Amino acid sequence: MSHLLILPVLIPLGTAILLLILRFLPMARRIVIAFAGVSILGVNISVLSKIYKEGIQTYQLGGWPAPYGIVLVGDLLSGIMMMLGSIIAVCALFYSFGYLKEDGQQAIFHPLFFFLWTGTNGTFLTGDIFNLFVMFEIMLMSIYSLLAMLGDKKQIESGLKLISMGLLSSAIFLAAVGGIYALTGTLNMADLAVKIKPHAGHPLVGAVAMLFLGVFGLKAAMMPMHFWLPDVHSSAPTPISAMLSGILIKVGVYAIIRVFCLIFVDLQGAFQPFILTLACITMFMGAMGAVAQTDLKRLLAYSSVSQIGYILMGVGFFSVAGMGAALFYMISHGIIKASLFMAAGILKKMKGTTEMSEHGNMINISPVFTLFFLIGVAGLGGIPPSSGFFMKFQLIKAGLDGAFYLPVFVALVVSLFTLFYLAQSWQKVCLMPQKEEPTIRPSFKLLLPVGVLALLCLVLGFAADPIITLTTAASQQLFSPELYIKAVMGSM
Amino acid sequence: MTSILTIVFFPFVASLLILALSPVLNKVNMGKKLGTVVAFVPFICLSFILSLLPQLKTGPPATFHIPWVKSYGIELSFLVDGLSVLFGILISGIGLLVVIYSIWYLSEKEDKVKFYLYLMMFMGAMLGVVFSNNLFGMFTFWELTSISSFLLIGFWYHKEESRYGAMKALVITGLGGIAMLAGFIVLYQITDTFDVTKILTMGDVIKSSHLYVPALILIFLGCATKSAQFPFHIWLPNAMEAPTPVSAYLHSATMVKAGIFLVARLSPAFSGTAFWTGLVGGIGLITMLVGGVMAIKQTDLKALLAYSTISQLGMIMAMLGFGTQYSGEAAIVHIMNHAAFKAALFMIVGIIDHGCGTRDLTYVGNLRKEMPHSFKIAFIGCLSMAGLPIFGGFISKEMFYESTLHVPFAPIPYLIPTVAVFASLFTFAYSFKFLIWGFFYKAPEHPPHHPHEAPVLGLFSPVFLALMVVLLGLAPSLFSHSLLEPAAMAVTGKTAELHLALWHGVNTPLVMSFFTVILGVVLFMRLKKINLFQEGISNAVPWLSPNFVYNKGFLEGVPPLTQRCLWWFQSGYLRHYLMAIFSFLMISTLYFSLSKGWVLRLDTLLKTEVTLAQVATLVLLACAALATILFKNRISAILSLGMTGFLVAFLYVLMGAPDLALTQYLVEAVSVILILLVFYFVPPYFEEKPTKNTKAMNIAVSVLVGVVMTFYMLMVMDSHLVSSIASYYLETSEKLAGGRNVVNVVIVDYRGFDTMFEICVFSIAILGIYAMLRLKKKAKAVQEEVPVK
Repeated sequence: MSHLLILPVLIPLGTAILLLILRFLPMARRIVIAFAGVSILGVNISVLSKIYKEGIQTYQLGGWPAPYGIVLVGDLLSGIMMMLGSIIAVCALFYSFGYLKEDGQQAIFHPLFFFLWTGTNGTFLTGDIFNLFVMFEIMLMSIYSLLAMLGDKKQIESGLKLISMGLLSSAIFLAAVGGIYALTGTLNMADLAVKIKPHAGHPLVGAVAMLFLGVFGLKAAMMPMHFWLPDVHSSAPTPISAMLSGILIKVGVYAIIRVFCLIFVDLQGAFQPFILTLACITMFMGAMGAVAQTDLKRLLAYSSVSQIGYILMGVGFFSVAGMGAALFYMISHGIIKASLFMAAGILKKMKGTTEMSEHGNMINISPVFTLFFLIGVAGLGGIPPSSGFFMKFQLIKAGLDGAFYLPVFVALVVSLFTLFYLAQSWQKVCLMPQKEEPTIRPSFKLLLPVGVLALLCLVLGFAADPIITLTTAASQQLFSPELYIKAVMGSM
Repeated sequence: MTSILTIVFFPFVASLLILALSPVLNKVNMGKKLGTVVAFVPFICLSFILSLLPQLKTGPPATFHIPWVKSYGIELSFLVDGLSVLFGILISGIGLLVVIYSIWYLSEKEDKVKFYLYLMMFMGAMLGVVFSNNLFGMFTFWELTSISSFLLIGFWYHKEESRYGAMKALVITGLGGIAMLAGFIVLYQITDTFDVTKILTMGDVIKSSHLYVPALILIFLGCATKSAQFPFHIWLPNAMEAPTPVSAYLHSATMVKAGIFLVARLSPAFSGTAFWTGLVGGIGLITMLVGGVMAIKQTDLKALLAYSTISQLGMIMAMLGFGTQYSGEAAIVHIMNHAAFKAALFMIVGIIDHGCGTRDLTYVGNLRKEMPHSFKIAFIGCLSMAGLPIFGGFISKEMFYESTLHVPFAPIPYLIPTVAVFASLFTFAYSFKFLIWGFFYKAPEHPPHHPHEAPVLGLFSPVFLALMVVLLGLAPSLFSHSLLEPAAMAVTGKTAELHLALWHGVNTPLVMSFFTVILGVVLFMRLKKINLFQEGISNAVPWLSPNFVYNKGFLEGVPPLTQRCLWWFQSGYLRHYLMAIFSFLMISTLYFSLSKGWVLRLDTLLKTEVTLAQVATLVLLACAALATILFKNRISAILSLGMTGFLVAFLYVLMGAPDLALTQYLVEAVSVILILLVFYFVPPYFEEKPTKNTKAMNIAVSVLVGVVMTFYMLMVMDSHLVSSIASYYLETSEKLAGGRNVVNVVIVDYRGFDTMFEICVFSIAILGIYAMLRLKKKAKAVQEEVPVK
C-alpha cells in the first residue's frame, strides 16, 4: 500500500506542530514553512497525476478494511480541489510574510494556517462521512482562531457570527450523520451509497439529504444561509480572506457534489429545481450586494456569494457538462478571487483601510498593481482570453444544452452587473484622483503572489484545453459513482 | 500564412513591448519619437494586408488554424476573404493615419506610453475580429476591443465625464457581448460548429431551425450595441470624451463598424427572411433617422459628428438588412466612403479644437480665412457626407436610394424610400451645419484662443483622407475591382460586379437625390427654429431618450434597489440570520420528507424504559435550557448553557458510558471558557425590548425547530433500513484489535483517525484562546500607556 495519499494530511499537521515547537526561532520557522509549502504542493501534484493515470486511489487507515475503518479516497475531484487549495495556500503563505509584520503574530498565524490546510486536505480526501465532520471542525476552529488572533472589534464581532453559524451547522451536521447512521448503520460514504440506493424513496432519506444540503450550503454561503460570509471574508486577515474565498467556500460545494453524486444519486432529480432556484437567488442577490459596497473587501466578499451561485448552478444542472463547468469555475474563481483579495490587502497596507473612496490613482502610484488588478477584474468579469471567460462560457453552454433557459438568463443578467461593479471598483481604485497621496508603496513581497495568481488566470485561459480535459474527466468520474464504490469496497 | 499571424499579433507584440519598456519610456523625454516608432506597426500591418489583395480574386478564401480549446471547438482561426481584407485595410490604414495625426495632436504632458499601449492593443483586437474564422476566436478579440475602448475613453481619467462615458460604453457593449455569447452558443446548437466558413454554408439549416429567431436576436444585440444602433446608441456621444484621434479611429471608422462587420459576415447565412429584414433593416432605418434628428441639434462639433456617425451606421445597417445583392454591395461601398470622410472630419474637429481652444459652434465660426486648409478638407468631407456629387458619398447615397426601391418583405410600397429620403434630409442639414456654421457664419461668442491652422504634420492625415474621398468619387474603379467586389461577394455570397459611377442617367435615385437637396436646403434654412423646438421637446419629455433609462433607471435606479436587497437579506443582526436559517432548514427538511409521505410512528419511544434518575436529569436539563434564554446577564446565561452540557454528560453516566461522559465534560468546560472569553471582547449587552411580533416569531421558530428535530430523531430511531456494521466491532475487537472495551477500541483504533483530529480541534481551540489572551494583555498595556503620555 502506497502511503502517498495520507501525506497531504500528515505534512501540514506535522508542520503545524513543528511550528508550535519552534515558536521562538523565527528563522527556523521560515525554513520549515517554505519547505512544507513546497512539499505539500509537490505531493498534491503527484497525487493528482497518480489519480489521473491510475484511477481512484484509496488508503485504509490502520489497515482496517473499507466499511469498518476510515478510508481516504482520492478521486479526480479531490485531487483537483487539493491542487487548487495548495496553489492558493502557497501564495497566501508567501503573502503573509509581507502582510503580518510582527513576528509574534506570525508565530501564531502560521501554525493555525497549517491546521487549516490540514483540514481542507482532509476534507477533500476523506471517504467517511463522520470524518468529514471532524475535518470540518478542524477548519472551523482554525478560522475562528485566525479571526480572533488579530482581533479588533470588527473581527471579534464577525467571529461571533461565524461561531454561531458554525455551532448551528455542526449541530445539524451531527443530526444528519446520526440520522444516516441510524438508518444504515454505516458511515463509509461508498458503503452508504450502496445501502441507500434501494431506499432512495424513503421519506427520512429525503430529510437527511436536505439536512446535508443545508449544512454544506451554509458552508458554501448558499442563500439564504450566506449571512456570515460578507462579514467574515472582509474582516479576516487578508491571506485568510484569500483562503476563505479561494478555497474554503468551495469546500461546501465540494461536499454537496460528493454527497449528491455518490450517496443520494437517485435524489438528484428531486433536488434539482430546489438547488437551481437557490443558485439563481444566490448569484443575483450576491451581485446586488456587491454593487452597493463601497469597501473593496466587502465588495469582493459579496461577489464571492454571487459566484457561488454560478458554481451551484453548474452543479444543479446534474450533467457531465454542467459539473465540468462548475469544477472549472471553482478553479478559475479560486485563483482570481484570491488574487483580488490579496490586491485589496495591498491597499489596506497602504492606507489602513479598503474603503474605495480613500484610494485612487493607483495607475500612477503603482502601474504593476494596476495591471494585476485589471487582469483580476477582467478575469472575474469573464473577458477572454482570461480563464474567467471559459468559466462563464462552459456554464452558459451547459445550461443552454440542458435547456435550462431561466437560470441561464439570470446568469447572463447577473454577469452584466458583475462587469459593472468590477469596472466601477477599477475606476475607483485605479483612476479616481486620490485625496491624500499614500506614504507607503506596495511592496514587492505583496505584489509577487498577486502577480503569480494573475498570471495563472491568464495561463488557465490560454491553456484552457488541458484543464477542461481534466475537469471533464473528473465530472465523468463523478457521474459513474460505481467506480468510486468499487475502488473503496473492492469487487463486492 | 505567416502574414496573417503578423497582421493580427504584431500590434499585440508592440503593445506588450511598450508595456515592458514603460518604466524606461516614462523616464526619458521622448518628444515625438514614440509616435514615430509606433507608426511603423500599422504600416507593416497595412503592407502585409495589401500583399493579400492579389489572392482575393483567385481561389477560395484562405483559412488558418491555431488550436485553442479543442473540446469546445474553439480555436484561433483566420479567414482571408474580401470582407476581412477590406476591413483590415481600413483598420490598419486609418490606424496609420491616426498615429501620424496623434504625433501632432498629443501635447508634451500627455501620457503617450499608455495612449499607444491601448491604441496598439485595440488595433490588434480589431484586426483579430475581422480576420477571425471562429466565432469564439472573434468573440475574444471583440471583448478586447470593448476593454481597450473602455481604457481609451477613460484616457483623461481625472475627468468625471470621461469615466462616465467609459463606464457607459462598457456597460452597453458588455450587455451586447453577453447576449452575443449566448447567441453564438445557440447558433452552435443549430450548426454544431463555431467555424464561420462552415456556418456560412449552412444558411438553409439555420433559417429553418426553430432556434433561428433567438440566435439572430441574441447575436444582433451584440452587433447593435457595438455599432451604436437605436436604442443602444447613447454610449457613442459620451465616448467622445476620448482624445480626438481615438474618436476618429475607434468611434467613427473602425470599432463601431465591428457590429456592421459581423452582420455583414453572417448575412449569407442569416439574411433573406422577413424577420431579418424587419429586425436589421428596421433598426437600421430608425437609427439613421434618430441619429440625424439628434445631430442637427448639436452645437458641439464632435457631438454632431458622433450623432452623424450613429445615423450613418444606421444607414449601412439598413442596407445590410434589406438583404438583396444590390443592397449588400451598396453597404460595402458606403463602409469605405464613410470611413474616409468621417475620419477626415473628426481630425478637422481636432484641429479646430486645438486652434480655437473649443469646438463649440457658440464660440467657433467663420474659420475659412484663418484655417484655409482645414476648410478645404471639411468642404470635401461634408459634401461627401451630404451625398453630393462629385464625391464618393454621392455614389453610395444613390446606391442606397436604389436599394430602398427593391426591399423584399416591404410592408407598404414607397414607405421605405420615403423614410430614406426623409432621413437623408437630416444628413444634408447636419453636413451643412458643420460646414456653413463652422466656416462661414460668425459665431455669437469669441473662442478662447485666436484660431490658427495646424502644421503640416497635423494636416497630413486629413489631407490624405480627403484625397481618398475625391478618388472614391471620381475614380471608384480604382477600388471596385480589386477590393470592393471581393468584399461584396463575401457579404452577398454571389459573384459581384460593381459598376460605380457618378452618372447613371436620369433615374429614380437621381430624382430622390434632387428632392433631398431641395428639401435639405429648406430644412437647413430653418435650422435655428427647429433646434429651439427640439430643445423644447427634450426639456418637456426627458424620458423619451434612452439616456433617461441608463441614467435614471440604471445608474440611479440600481443603488436604491441594491440597498433594498441588502436591507432584506443582510440586516446585520445575528438573530435575524439565525431565524432565517433555522426556518429555512426546518421547512425545507419537512418538505423533502413530507413530499415522500412521512408518517409518524413512536414504537421505540413507547417501549423504552425510563428510570427516575433519568427523568430528574431531563427535567433539570430542560430547566437549564430555559434559564439560558431567560437570564439577562450574559455570564449567567453562558454558565447555564454549560450546565445543559454537563447534564447531558450525566445522562451518559446514567446510561453506562463513562468514557463518553468524561469527554463531554472536558469539551463543555473548554467551550464555556471559550465563550466567556469571546464575550469579554464583545461590546456589552444592550437590552432592547423585543416587540410582540418579534417575540412571537422567535417562539414560533423555536417551536418549529424543536418539533421538527424531535420528530426527526424519534423517526430515525425507528427506521433501520439495513443492519448495522456495529456487530463487526463486537466480533473483532478482541481478536484483531486486542481490546475488550469495544468503545475504546473504536475510538483509538478503528476510528483512531477521527480521534486524533478531535484532539487537534481541541488544541487549535486552546491556541485560539491563547492568542486572544495575549491580545487582551497587549490591549491593556496600550490602555495603560496612554495616560502616562
